[in-house]
Amino acid sequence: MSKEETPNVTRRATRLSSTNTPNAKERTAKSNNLPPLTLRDLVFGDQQEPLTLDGLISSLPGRRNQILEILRFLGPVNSPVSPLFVYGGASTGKTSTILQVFRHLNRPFVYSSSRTCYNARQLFDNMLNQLLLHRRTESNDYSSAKKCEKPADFVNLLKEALATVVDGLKGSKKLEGCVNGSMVYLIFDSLELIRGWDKSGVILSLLFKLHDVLKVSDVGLIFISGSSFDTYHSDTGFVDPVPVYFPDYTEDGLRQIFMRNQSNPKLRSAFLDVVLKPFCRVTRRLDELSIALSPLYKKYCEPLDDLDVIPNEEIKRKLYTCLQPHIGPALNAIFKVTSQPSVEAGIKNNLQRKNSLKKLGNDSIDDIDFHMSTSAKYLLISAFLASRNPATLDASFFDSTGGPTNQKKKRKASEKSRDLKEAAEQEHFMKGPGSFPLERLLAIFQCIASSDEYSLENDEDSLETTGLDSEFGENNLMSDILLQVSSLCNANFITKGGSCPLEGSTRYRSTVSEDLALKVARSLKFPLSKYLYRR
Amino acid sequence: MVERSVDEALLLLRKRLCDLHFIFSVFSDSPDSNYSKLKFIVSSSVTEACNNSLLLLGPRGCGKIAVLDLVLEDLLKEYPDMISVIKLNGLLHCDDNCALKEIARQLCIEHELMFSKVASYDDNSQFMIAMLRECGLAHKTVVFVLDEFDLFAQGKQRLLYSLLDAMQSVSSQAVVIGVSCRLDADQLLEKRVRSRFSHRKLLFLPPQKDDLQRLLKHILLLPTDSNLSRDYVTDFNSRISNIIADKRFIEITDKLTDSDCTVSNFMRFLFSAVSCIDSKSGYMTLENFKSALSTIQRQPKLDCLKDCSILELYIMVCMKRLEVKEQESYNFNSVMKEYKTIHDSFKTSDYYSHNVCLRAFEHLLDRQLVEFADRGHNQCIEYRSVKLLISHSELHQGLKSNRSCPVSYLKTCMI
Repeated sequence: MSKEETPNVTRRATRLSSTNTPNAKERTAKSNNLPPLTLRDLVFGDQQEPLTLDGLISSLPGRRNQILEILRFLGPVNSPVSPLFVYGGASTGKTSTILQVFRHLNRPFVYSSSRTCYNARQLFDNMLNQLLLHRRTESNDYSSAKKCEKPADFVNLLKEALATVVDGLKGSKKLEGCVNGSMVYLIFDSLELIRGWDKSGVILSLLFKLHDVLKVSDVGLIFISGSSFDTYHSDTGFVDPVPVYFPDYTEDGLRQIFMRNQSNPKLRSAFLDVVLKPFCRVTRRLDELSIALSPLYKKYCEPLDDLDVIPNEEIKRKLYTCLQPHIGPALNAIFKVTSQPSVEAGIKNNLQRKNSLKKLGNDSIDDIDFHMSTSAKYLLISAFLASRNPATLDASFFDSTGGPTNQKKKRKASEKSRDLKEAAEQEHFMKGPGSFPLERLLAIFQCIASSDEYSLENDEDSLETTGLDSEFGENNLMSDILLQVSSLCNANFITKGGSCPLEGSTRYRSTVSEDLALKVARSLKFPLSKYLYRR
Repeated sequence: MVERSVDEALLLLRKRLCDLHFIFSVFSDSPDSNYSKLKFIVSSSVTEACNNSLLLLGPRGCGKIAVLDLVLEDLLKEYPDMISVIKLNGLLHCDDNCALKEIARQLCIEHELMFSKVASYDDNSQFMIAMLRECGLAHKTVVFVLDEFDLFAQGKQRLLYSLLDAMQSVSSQAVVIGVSCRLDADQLLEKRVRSRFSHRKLLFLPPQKDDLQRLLKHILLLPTDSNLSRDYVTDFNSRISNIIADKRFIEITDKLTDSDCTVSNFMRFLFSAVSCIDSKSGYMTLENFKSALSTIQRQPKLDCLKDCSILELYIMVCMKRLEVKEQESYNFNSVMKEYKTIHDSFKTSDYYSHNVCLRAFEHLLDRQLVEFADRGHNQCIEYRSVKLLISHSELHQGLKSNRSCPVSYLKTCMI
């Protein structure tokens, strides 16, 4: 072909890459300051003083039995160990206990969690990088030491890496004080997440058989999992590892944990006497309890001028009576962690609302606590109506004027129709919200939004939709709507279902609860109840 | 002095328990054991320069690979330079490309050749056939060990066919040993593969009770000729013999072997018991074995139930009541309705809001005490049908053993 057919394809420079060049030299200089990894880095951090056994037990209250059990299984230095399987509920301290035990023992280990390594390749790469003492820096483009796609490569590379590390640990004299022993321990955390991975059966079988497959005697394997061993199903089964069970904290254990690092222990203990038992009826998980109890403690200490006072019986009674009305609503709230600047505003709001009665089971705060544009709110309401109402009744609900028709006077319901209604309600309970195609959603939206067009025109703030056209027309609104639908889908207010093979279009489903829809409608002053189909 | 003896003894015992060769060597002396049979088959095919194939079958933890390794180790000593071993694992190498690459790699290491990572499937298979021919001409037997044999029998079985086909040529000398925990592994083979496979099978069964006694003595009795102090060793051994003869110990081991009598389970039990040895006294006691049994035999669902909070127990009781009322499928909303009716009729103090109950429900899902009955993810979790994963009697037992559960829930449970 002629010369025209061999173009010189120049690479398009993106804006990011073109701004890179002036700062590149500075950054490489900074990143070179990190020292290369040595065998000493396989141990827990760099500690000035070693952690004694008493220190270990006192730093993890309520876990004395488990710590002693793990230390017994790990045994003296350089003793071979069967694979261990540590399991227990969430936030029971499994990971921290294991890591602190290794800090106490000062033995080299390699830790990887299936939460941060979200597929098999990441897991393999992470393990190998740590064993090969490879740090991912800018100089090697943040790449791993070895490319490892398949389990077969992983096992071969792991054997080589372990052999090098163990030889290094045995041979080196200057590690004698810092590192104990020449055995390496591999810790696999959050094993239950692997069940949801692709090809999870192969990976789990491989991990549980790793001890036999490797045939390296200087390796110990520890698996940490959130659920017990019988939930790992396999067709041909695994050889069981030795189990170590971490039960949930007892009430005494929880009390010990909450009493730590307190400036006024007596006050705290009086607070816990009052509050711990009712909250333990709802949940016994440590993370949820600590988030629920910390704002309550602030409220408990509010009436006190001097926070260091040691409370006697009278003070305790007074504080309890002040706190009591707040305990009920706090039990019914799932925890909300507010961001720092709004904490003070939140407390002020709560003080104002102290007098308003809150019904049990219905935390009806009048305003929704996230911001949505008006058209998005209308879309949400339309989706809710489309899911709740059957499609055949659309014509009667939404006529051309945009308002509901008068409801016909109801005759007294016969017993048979009552039974039918109950059955229909039961079915509705079970099936959940219905699905609707996009056209129906847009039709309802147009109907509702156009009826309030007059009020929308007056409200200028929320309608700076396009900036170019100052003329408000329905054409401008429509192009925005499809984008709004997709953003509502991403926010999980609307879910996208499968497509019907006859019609070929995707169907949507609203996942909003009636409370939220009512709140949104109230903020728009939209009469939602008139449009809802009541059976 | 005694302290050091104790540590060394512990170390020795733990080394023994983690060393499969040591454990299974006790079974290798009798002439009709699997060890002798296997050794005879492989050694005869080496000396007579013929091809052979066989399967080792048996449940997990009965020592198939361990005995095979013992046999191969002994044969490598007896006939040096006449055997080369290639080991493949069905978990790692079930893909044909992967398997041939691994075979080529191991052959290269064996014979000190350069291995190329970018060789294609055809190159590798030609290399393997060529090596087999060369080894046959040099009177060297190649032993292929295929672990997890049933995984190789999935798919098209190209690897198995090419291996067994290569053995048919005159000049090759190969033994193919398949190891599997599925007792019907040979039924999985295709017709053309099965016709090339000799139907020799060795069955590995869990040991009988007197074999276990022998194993126990073999492992736990300390050797008298080591560098441990003599008094300590004799003391230790006499205590062990006393314990083994004790009726309570026999009850403990019966309890263990009634549920799982494989060797690996027994080894876990002994490991747990050995790690319980008190380093001050330095001797094993019956208490060690008792606590080891309770560690190994756990009931995870009952443990979970003991840890549940009262609200979570309440939700499970509601689900149980719905099941008793013979509602085939129910979801979170129907459970909430039942919750409300119980609250109305029994006037309990535990009535919490929808969100809190939903959170407790999610905890139950995490602990795998309840599970979704359908596969789809289209609905939000309030509408998906669920089912209880524990039986009613387990739930009842769990309610009784939960420390903080009030008695009234037992009454509501019993309708």
